[in-house]
Amino acid sequence: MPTAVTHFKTNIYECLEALPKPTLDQLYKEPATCLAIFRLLPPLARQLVMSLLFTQPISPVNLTQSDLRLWVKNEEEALAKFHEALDKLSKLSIMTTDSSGYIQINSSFRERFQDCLTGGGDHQSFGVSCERPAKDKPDIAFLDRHAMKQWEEILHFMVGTESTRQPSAAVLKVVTRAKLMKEGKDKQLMITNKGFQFLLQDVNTQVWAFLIQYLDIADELLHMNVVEVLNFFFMLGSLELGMDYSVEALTPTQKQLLDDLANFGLAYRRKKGSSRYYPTRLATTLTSGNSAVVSSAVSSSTSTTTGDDGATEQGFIIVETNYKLYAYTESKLQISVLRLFCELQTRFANMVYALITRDSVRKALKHGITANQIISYLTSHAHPQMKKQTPLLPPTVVDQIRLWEMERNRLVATECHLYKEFRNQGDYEMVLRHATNLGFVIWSNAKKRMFSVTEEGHEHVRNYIKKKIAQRKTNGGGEAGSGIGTPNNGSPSVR
Amino acid sequence: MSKQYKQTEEYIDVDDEIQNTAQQTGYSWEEEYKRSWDVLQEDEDGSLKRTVENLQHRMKRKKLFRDTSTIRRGIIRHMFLIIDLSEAMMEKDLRPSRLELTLSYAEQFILEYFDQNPISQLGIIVTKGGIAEKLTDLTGNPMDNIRVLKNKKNTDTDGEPSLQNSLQMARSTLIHVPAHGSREMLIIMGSLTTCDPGDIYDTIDSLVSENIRVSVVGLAAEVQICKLMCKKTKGTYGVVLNEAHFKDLLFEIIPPPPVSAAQNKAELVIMGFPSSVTDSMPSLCACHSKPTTSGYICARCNSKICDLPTDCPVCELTLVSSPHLARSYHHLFPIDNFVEVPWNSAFATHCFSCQMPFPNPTSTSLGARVAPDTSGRYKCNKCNQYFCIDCDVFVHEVIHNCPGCLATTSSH
Amino acid sequence: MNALKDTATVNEDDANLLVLIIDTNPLIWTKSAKSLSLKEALRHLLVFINAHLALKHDNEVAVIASHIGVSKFLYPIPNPSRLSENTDQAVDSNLYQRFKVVNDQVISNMKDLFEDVSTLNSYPDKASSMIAGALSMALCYTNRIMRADEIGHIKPRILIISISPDSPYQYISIMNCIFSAQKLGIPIDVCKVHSEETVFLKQAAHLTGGRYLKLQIPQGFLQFLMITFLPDRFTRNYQCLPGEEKVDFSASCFCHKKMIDIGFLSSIRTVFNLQI
Repeated sequence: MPTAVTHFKTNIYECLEALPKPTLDQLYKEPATCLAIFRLLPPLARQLVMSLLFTQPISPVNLTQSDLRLWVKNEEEALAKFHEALDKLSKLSIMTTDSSGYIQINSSFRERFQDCLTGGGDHQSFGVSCERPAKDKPDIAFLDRHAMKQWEEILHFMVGTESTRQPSAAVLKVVTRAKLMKEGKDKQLMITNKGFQFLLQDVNTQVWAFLIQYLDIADELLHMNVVEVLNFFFMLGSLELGMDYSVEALTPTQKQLLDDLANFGLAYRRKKGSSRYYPTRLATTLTSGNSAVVSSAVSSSTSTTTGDDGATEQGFIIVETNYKLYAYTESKLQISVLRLFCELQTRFANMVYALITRDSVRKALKHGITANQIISYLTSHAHPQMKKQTPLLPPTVVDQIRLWEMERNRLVATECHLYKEFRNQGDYEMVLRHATNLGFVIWSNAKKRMFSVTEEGHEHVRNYIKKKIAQRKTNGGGEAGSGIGTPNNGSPSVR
Repeated sequence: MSKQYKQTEEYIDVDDEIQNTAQQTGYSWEEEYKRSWDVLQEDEDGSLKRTVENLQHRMKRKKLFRDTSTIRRGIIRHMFLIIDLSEAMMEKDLRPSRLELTLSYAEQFILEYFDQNPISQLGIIVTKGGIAEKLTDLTGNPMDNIRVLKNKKNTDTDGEPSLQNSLQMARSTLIHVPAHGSREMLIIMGSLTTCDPGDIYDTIDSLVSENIRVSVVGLAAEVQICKLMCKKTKGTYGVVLNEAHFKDLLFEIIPPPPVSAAQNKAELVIMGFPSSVTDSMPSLCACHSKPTTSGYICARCNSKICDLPTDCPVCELTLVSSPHLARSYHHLFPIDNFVEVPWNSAFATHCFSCQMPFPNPTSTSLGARVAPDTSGRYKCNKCNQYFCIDCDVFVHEVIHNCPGCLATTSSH
Repeated sequence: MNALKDTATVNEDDANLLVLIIDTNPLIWTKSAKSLSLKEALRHLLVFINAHLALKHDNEVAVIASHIGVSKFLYPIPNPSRLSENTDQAVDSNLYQRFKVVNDQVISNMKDLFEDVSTLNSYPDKASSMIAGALSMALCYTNRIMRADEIGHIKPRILIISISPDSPYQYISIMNCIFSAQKLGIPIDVCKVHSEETVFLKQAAHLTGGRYLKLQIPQGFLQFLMITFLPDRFTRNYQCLPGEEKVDFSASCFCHKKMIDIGFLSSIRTVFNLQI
């Protein structure tokens, strides 16, 4: 699922690159953070870091950028990737070139990442587990259901389904801050265009968008340390699904953070003050790029022995070339999302059958959703059977959705002023020439002797005409009369 | 007189009566009508899943049974591929048409043939309008053959095929092949007729006396003369039922055929194994006189050649690289088939080579314990290790090594 | 007879399966203990495995040990029962859980392998190890993983850490494995830690598009592994990796098991003889 991975990666990237260097140095004190940030780098950058990671203790190695360039093939694409890698590494201040031209790896990153790979150090950055075994441990299916319930509550609230409770204050703050909803007429929150777009994205991107907004609030409103917040996020990403972790090892900031995150559905605590917490799938797949939702259709019989995080399929939509859509889901939220841009026809116990029509897509377009978003939603939620065919979605459907979007772009409206009723052709042409030289003319018609001029140009042209009229009066005596041209103010001209 | 002799010798079995007396009598339309959909049956839960799995299992197993005795086989092969380009090939009973399907399968056949028999040679002859035409002579380069097949001019259809002419043409080249190589022909016939200038029985006799093996793949129906020819020359004859069967029949010819007793003198052919070399300065190669930086050095005369396998242009030593030869070894030392393990001795829990867990008797929703038809465990008799069906297929078709025998000490 | 170039179907987002075959012939490791002992080498290898798993969340690894007389999976094994006995706790807060699981299993299974000396004593040829068996098992495992992954998301490769010399008895089996790997597009990399060159493994690397490297500085084992063998199939296309280019394609004679460069080929059974 390349689209999902790139979206959330770019989100976190921008967030991290905006941090100042000392903050990044602080961040690199935790190995879990180093690991998570490492995984965000492009492939060649990761390889460069690994190659240089263990060089220092044996003998200091002084390499310049041109030395490193020898490791890369002499082809255009390879060199482009190489430069991109160096660029990203220096922006995140992991690998920089110092004043004498030598490549340096950030020392705290180097030490901590070495610890991460070798298991050394005393940082307890990968989550301290509880010593006493839990009385009844929730199983993974329960955690999944809990996570989805919490998360969908938030989304249901956004869509406006009646039966949802008011979510917690933190959620409301995040949602308004991210401009996903805004205050409407009666002090109720209404969903915005951006909110609709948000609904169509996949769960990982949504969770990260939330977390990044939360980071903003954390800094300003809640006065939490940004470093601690980020460390906690990345630590959550490295925990193991289904294991319980102790709350005692967390700082006070992180404990408060945990409460808020539990409301989002990233962690489960039996009760408010309980001393252990269980990360859910939403948390453990934060940095992995795997899907955070496991549909019930996927059974674990074909999974390998490497752990439950490997389940990747969340697709449930099948699109046919005759614009029919079959969605194998029972989730009310997904069905509401589908209702945004297609017409539901029938609903079965495990499936919903819908039709993509011009009206339904136009309705979505009116709400501010773009065709690309609809297409990427369909692609990222495509059923695994669809993924086997190339191209993934039928080209007819994709092209038609785009065409319906382009239909709305056939008319472009511009505000302007219309000049008409010129006495004679000469006057018309003179004024037209002047206006064209200044670049203000939008439309002109020589037969009807009319032309239209932009807002800014209106003043200039009017002054010019007045000047000419004054000139004529002084030159030609009483002959010219009024109206070289009468401006018609403020009417929009439609091309 | 010779004809009379022939008639008493081989009674042509027109109605397959001799074959059928052992089975039910009568014609095929008198037998009970087989309904192909009866195979699918629902189990107690109403799901078809187990039936489908069993069917898949059985299909995989069917492909595996093959001859595994270590008999002598001809590794160095010389084969002519004879393609019928008569008007009968424009029939559309095989999609998209017999001719197009034949050409695409012929390409795949050529690639696979050279993959499995790297030191062999192949030539192509086509027959149409009563004559035979040689498209390529015997060559070890698959791309020459494929290029010729892709050329549209060479593959127009016309008139009737001529079996005798094509056999004669191939025979005239094959008799000059040295005795250590096997001589073969593969004919793809779509037509039911042939237009010959002389007595084809004489041609068949001369083929038999020269140890040339002829195999035929028929696309229409069984033709007696083809059947006779193949039987006499110890080749194989098959008529295709559908596209997949066509491919299977073609690919059955790819493994080297067993060598008959008459050809049993084991001649030794001298061959060289050159080493590859890369220079910083280009030097001329001996085969094309082109400057190249990399190449192979002949073991006997030290001249540089570009590509293997080939004959050294200077000292005429046949040069191959050992991987080329090694590709055909697995035909000489085939591994035994694995034996299916019944449920009462099914104790192994995981496949030895891929660690996949074996299925256990499952309980259905009604609580009864139901076992799938097969236990899914297959045993190698030499090393007594258990494998799953995927590993079984993979081992026999791709690797040709038994992992159990190689990874434990019981076989040595 | 061109070496295989990796086709353009490898994407940046593909997961990678690394199958690591470790030659654990104890006799030769004791010989090499002055420069690099097996314990040291294993430590380096575990960090290397962790590095591979760190590159991407969905990277996978499998470890097979090629011993004298037997060849076994060290990871993943179906019933890791000894795990909870040996380790202090199931979760270590200083080590990423995935690394911990792999490391623990590899160490405990390796211990079991060395404690079982019955096969060691009974097997006659103690000079080399069961590389052919390990390669066949590796190929079966990759076959299983590739079948289970229907979208073609996971891309396998094989790395052999070799220390024993070639065994001519295994020539045909190793060549069969090499051709299968070539057909499936799986590159085989070889790192030669000690003793003389192995021609078969060099051919393996050349034919499948992998790299062959002889370890020059034993203490820098990890660094060599990181630079040469860590790049996955996508990154390899853009990097110039160290390795040897010159390959010797001689065959081994069937009767004397010696390497020859001119021989006699029997048309029927391909028996080679030394030219006398």
